Amino acid sequence: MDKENALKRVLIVDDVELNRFILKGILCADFDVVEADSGRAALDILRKDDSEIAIVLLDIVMPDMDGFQVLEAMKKQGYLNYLPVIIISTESTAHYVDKAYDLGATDFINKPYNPNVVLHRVLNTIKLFNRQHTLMEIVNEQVYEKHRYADMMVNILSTVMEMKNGESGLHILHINTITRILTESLLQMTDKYTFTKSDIQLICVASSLHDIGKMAIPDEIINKPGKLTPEEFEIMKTHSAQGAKMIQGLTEYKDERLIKFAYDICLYHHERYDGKGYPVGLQGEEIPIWAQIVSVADVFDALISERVYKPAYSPEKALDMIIAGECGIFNPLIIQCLIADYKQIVAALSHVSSAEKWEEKAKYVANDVEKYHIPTFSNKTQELTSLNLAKLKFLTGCSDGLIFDYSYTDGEMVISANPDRGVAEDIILDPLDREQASKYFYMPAYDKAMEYLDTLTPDNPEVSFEYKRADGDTLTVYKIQMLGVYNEDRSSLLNVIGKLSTTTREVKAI
Amino acid sequence: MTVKEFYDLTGGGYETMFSKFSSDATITAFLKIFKRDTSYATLCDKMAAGDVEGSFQAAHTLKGVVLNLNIEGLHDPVCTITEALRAKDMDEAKKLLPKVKETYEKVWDALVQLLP
Repeated sequence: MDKENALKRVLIVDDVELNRFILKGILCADFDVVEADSGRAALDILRKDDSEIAIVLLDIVMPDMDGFQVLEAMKKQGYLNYLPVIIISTESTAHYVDKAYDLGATDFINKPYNPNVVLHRVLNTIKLFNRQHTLMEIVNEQVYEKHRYADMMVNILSTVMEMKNGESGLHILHINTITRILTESLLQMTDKYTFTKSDIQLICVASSLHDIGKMAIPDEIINKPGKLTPEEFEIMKTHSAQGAKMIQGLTEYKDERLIKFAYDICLYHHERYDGKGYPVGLQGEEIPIWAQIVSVADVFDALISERVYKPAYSPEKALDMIIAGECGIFNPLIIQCLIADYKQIVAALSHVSSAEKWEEKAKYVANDVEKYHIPTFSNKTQELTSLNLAKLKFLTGCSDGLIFDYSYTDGEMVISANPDRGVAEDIILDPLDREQASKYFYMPAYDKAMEYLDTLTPDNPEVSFEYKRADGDTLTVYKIQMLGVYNEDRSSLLNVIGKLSTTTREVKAI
Repeated sequence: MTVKEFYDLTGGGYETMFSKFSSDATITAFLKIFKRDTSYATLCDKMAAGDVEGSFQAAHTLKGVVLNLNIEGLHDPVCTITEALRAKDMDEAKKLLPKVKETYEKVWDALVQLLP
């Protein structure tokens, strides 16, 4: 869009000099014209000059490599996704025209040329493509932003889980990554299951919730250093049903696909293919495939990671153990995927949670959106937003503190509802209005937090501090964790998401 | 010789051409390039060699050029031979070639007078 005033570049592909010359004469006042006298020369120019060319005018009958072959090559190499091609030909037989359109040509112009028609067709085609491209960019940006939030939520969740069960917070991020790789691999291996790309995305997010039920297991069992007694193990095993119950409690979102995936994954990720798992003892394909995938991901990551009760095994050793059935029997197709992909998985885990993954995911979904055409874009965005709200609400409920979101751009702060903390519904307030803020925050700690905001930078977006308040013989500790969210080019701070937790204890007089 | 006289001598087409490009200088520039176009020579060579596919390509190219320059005298002969060659009917094409030659030579003579 910023290149609006620069001359757009047109590539003319024709083996006959005169034809190129005439087209150039028609277009050179409005465009920067590049010529190719053969199909191969055209592909060479595209390779070198790819992003600069706005449209291709392509002749069909050429020696060596004809226009159809050029179109096919352009399609294969992905140029046709963003580069319009107008066929210029003496041919107007149905066979030619149909074939050209089938191969992805945008338009068809017949010789002899009418200069006015040629000029306007070219101008309009470029305009149309530009508009579509701009829309794609907008969607891409929005999807990117939503996914940053979704990932942030998953990160917060894994930190919460880490605090609860002492297991590495990385486990949740790992499950996410392994689930993605295995699901994609499974789809390539068999036609048995069909998911859209956004389904895969949702399954990965849902996989992060697989152990959420452990929140309901007593700390002494979760953090017991030695082996669990049979009774304790029975209690531990209830975490899958507990997790499913938590998810089911979100009645407002019961029809969301994320919730369906999350429910199945929580409940069934300890089921085994031979029916010897728990809690239900489902067998084979009775177990939803997404839960089957997560169970393999869960076991594989547990094996290759260090735990209090075991060292980290090598990926090969872990694979052997899974194949040998030492961790129960799994779907043989998923095992095949794991065998094929475990190296890729190990490599991906080594840079899990890095920032560029967000962008990757945004592109991934944006590509998917492309298939559904423009009218569904806003639905998609809405869907993502409501999913994120569902996640936020859910996570806030799991947390024992107040979650707040300070939007710099809107100049307002939203405190998420948490009935346990006396906040019945979401509160919106002006952060600079101290009187309002004092209803929810202890002001000296609040002021301290405001000071800390200035220390956030894109490279160092997190801050966490404690503020102690002694009052008689009680000591109250306010713990505040904050995360700054920046715009894409990292030039300005958009939001600060934070959590306030308060603990009070008696201080005994010495 | 003027551009209009060139077209009149070869079977017409000047008015349409001028209405499209509105300048004799532009049309002359096109004709200069037409003077070094090799598709006619290629057509004759490929026909002599009995190469049907090569002949078709050359005829097809010549047809595009003739249409773009709107040299009306050449329209019919070139279009007819192109269709015969598309149908791979070499015998028919050979029967049609003399007419193409005769007309092309007339165009060539006029072209040399216009652009010595």
